[in-house]
Amino acid sequence: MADVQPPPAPAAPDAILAADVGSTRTHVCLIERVEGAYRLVARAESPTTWGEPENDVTIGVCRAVQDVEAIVQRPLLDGDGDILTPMEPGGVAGVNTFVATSSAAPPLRCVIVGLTDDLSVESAARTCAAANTVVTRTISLGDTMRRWDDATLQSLHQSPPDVILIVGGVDTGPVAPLESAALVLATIYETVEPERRPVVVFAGNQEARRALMDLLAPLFDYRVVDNVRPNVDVETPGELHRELAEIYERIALPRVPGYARLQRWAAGPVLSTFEALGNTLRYIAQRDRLERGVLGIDVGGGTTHVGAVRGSIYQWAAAAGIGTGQGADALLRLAGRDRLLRWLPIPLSTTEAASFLQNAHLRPHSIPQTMEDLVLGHAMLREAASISLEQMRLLYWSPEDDESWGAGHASARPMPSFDLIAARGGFVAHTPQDGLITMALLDAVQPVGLVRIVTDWATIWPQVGAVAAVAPLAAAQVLARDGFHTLGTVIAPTGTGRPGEIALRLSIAREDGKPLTLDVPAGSVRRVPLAAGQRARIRVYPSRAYDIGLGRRGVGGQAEVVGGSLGIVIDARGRPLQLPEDAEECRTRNQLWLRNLIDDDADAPA
Amino acid sequence: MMMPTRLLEVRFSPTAQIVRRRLLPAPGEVTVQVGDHVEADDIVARALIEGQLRSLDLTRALQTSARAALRCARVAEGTPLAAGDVVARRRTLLSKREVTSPWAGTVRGVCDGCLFLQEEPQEVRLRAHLPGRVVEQYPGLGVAVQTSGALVRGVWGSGGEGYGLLAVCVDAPGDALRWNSFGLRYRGMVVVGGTLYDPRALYRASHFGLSGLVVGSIAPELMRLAATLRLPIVVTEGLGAIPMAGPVFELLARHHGRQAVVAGPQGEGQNGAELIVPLPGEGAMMALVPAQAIETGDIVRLTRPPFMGAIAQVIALPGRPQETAIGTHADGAEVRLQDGRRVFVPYVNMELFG
Repeated sequence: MADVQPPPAPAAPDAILAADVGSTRTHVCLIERVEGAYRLVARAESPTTWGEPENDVTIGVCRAVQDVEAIVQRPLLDGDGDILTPMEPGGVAGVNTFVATSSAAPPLRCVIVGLTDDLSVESAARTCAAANTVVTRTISLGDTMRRWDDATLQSLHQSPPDVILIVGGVDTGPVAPLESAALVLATIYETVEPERRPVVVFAGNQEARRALMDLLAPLFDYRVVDNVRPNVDVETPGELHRELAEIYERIALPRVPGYARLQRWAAGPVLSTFEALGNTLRYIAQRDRLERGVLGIDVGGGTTHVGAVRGSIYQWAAAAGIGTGQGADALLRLAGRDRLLRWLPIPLSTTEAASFLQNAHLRPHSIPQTMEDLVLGHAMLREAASISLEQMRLLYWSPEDDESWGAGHASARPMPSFDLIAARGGFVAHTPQDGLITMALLDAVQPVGLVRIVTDWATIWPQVGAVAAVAPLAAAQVLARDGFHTLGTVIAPTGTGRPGEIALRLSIAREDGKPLTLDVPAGSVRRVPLAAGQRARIRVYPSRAYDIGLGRRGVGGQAEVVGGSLGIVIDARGRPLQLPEDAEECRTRNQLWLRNLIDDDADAPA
Repeated sequence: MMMPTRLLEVRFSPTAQIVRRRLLPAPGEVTVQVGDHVEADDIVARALIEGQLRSLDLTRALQTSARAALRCARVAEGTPLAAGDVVARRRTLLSKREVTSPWAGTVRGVCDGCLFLQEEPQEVRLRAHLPGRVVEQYPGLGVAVQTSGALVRGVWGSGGEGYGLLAVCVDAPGDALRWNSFGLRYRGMVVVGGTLYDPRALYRASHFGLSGLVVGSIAPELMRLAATLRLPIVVTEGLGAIPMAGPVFELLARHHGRQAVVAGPQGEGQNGAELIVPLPGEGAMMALVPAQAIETGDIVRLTRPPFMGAIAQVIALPGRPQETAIGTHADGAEVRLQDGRRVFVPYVNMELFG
């Protein structure tokens, strides 16, 4: 008998095509080995072809791939319009591997069934809001008048939701009401075709698990997770949050028209964009040994996603239907016109603003061509990111997480400090002025302490997260060499001072220049140029009213910082950021802050 | 290797072969054959769909607990019911309470104090919607109907489907459709206006039984109201006070008095809002394509400020991304506006007029 040879290890691919199919745009990038290292060779984007008239997302992928073909001057699609794999000998056509991520599916539609309107139902609704899930109806079993009325029955029976989430009861609480609800659900869906039945997730009283399983498991895809409110004072949303994310990937994504073809092309499973982006953020935190972690902000056309890596833990929140494209309408309704308009540095009437926003919602693929349109988009970016950050605060971040946190309501507390803010999204990639992006991120995140800001200039982070599964070296090298655009390092103290008072004194020693000392007045934003890749040693001396993130006011510190397109940015506006009540004054302040960031020579010392 | 051809959405076509699929919500029976000629109102397929699920709250009606209500039920799962049948009865020393079913149907169960019954299956009849010829049959599911005519695809719509004579009720594409722009004699017609910001016009259109409204733009605050009315509405340009594009208005004015079919999505939204003016016997027409390669000389509609709603002609197709007025680099075309200016516009900010 011949010796059995172990199969040869798969060769590392020379060319990888990766696509991210978003709800508004599809991004494709080509990664190739160039002189021994993997590089981003070409990238292209195309409107996502989710709806009428194409109804097939692979058409948008192919259009973007055709643009990549034109850049690299070699065919990547075959005669049938499929991705050409494997690569032809000599590298004259095709690629070795194709991977894909997607967030094109609409948010999950969920009905919550609970004992009462408060407590567990509130916890479940908060968890859904942060898990790209829209709650279409809440059924309170305590409401004996309306719990199973005709309107409820018709919505459940005629347009079944994706998920029914049953919650309620502290652990060891009563079981009978939950059993009754389960019986009713079984009655409603008994004659409905199995493929139209919703997934049922039970996140309630542990005592009821077995009884509900007996009633529901024969009919439904039945899932059990931790009780979202095991007692009145404790909320444990983590497992439910993960389960909803898994259901989105397993049920919602495959419903995207053209998904089967996309999956056929791909070397591995089509990952959700959120998961793939999480892989990338985790890798960055690990690679750079970032003790305070990374905050990722992805404001897309239809969904806004915020993820934070701290230590080995990755936490995220995705605001369903909130974004700067299709999500503009929902964002406008949620945030309100006044909150959006307060960020504008130029005068724009509410009618004009509403018209801009609503038309952007109708044609989400279009891009701004005027400064009014652009800054309105950045106002949306601020509010969308704020909503997701608020979800993170409510779900995950407690005062104990960070020493710099004070007491009080969640929204009044400053952000936990991070080493890196990594931002991406349509308005981040399509804004040529780095000052505008930085200002929007400073306003939305209101970071504390010392933090570096980078952007996904090429819109490749999710694709790189998917590439990591098939070619980790390629992902790491592309991310290191081509993945970032560094805006700069921000110093942002907490505290408030009177206008004109010095908030902090900054001493900067550049590698190649004379030391520089700068006094930064309270309420101002300043910038000191420091080119990308350059390093400088800084010493910060805050006044007694300010804390630079060390947990004590008036205590100074020193650090080595790296430059970026903007250099070093000092945000001495204090935390939480207070905008003037008067609209005119607010606009003037916004103009001043922006000018200090955009203009090279506004106030910043050379 | 050549630069890829740029495909742009076709939103308007004065003459084309149009095919629309008509599909049942559940499997059923197709009643027409390939090659049959159908009118808009003809039934092309029918199906039985599940009856509505109804509930009767026995605990409230009998003033008892959920457990006791179960004992009071006089019917069991599977029992067929006629309207008026007694389904539960409770006797006490002083009174007798009975619950009757207001609906005919079949009992599905009694739980949580409620009796659940399902009404008899209902027949759904699918109309052709489009006058034309059946070109494809999907057994048990529906058909595809082809017609030749003019097509205007909207950016927003609501209210479902309708058909009737086309009536242009304004003089210019920017004229507002007012409450007194049309009267009762327009019942059953598809009325065309430039802009719409008067809620009274909407109420009146619904009250008078118009078959549809087609406008260039609608005030954003009217969208919610429009979506609640059972009146097909198609918006061709956008929101605010944007005049209807000149070529679209001229086409509709030319076909004033002809039969037209209008479709807004059920509820509201962007998918499927369109107006079709069938033009049978107008000679051979090209098949309508959803997206078409852009070429020099093409007429396009610009869809983002500062040129929102403007009509322009493509005069050059630079092969590389160009800088826009705000510094962004994007693929696009150089176009000539109607006032003679030459401007660069990204492809994603324009739509093709076929």
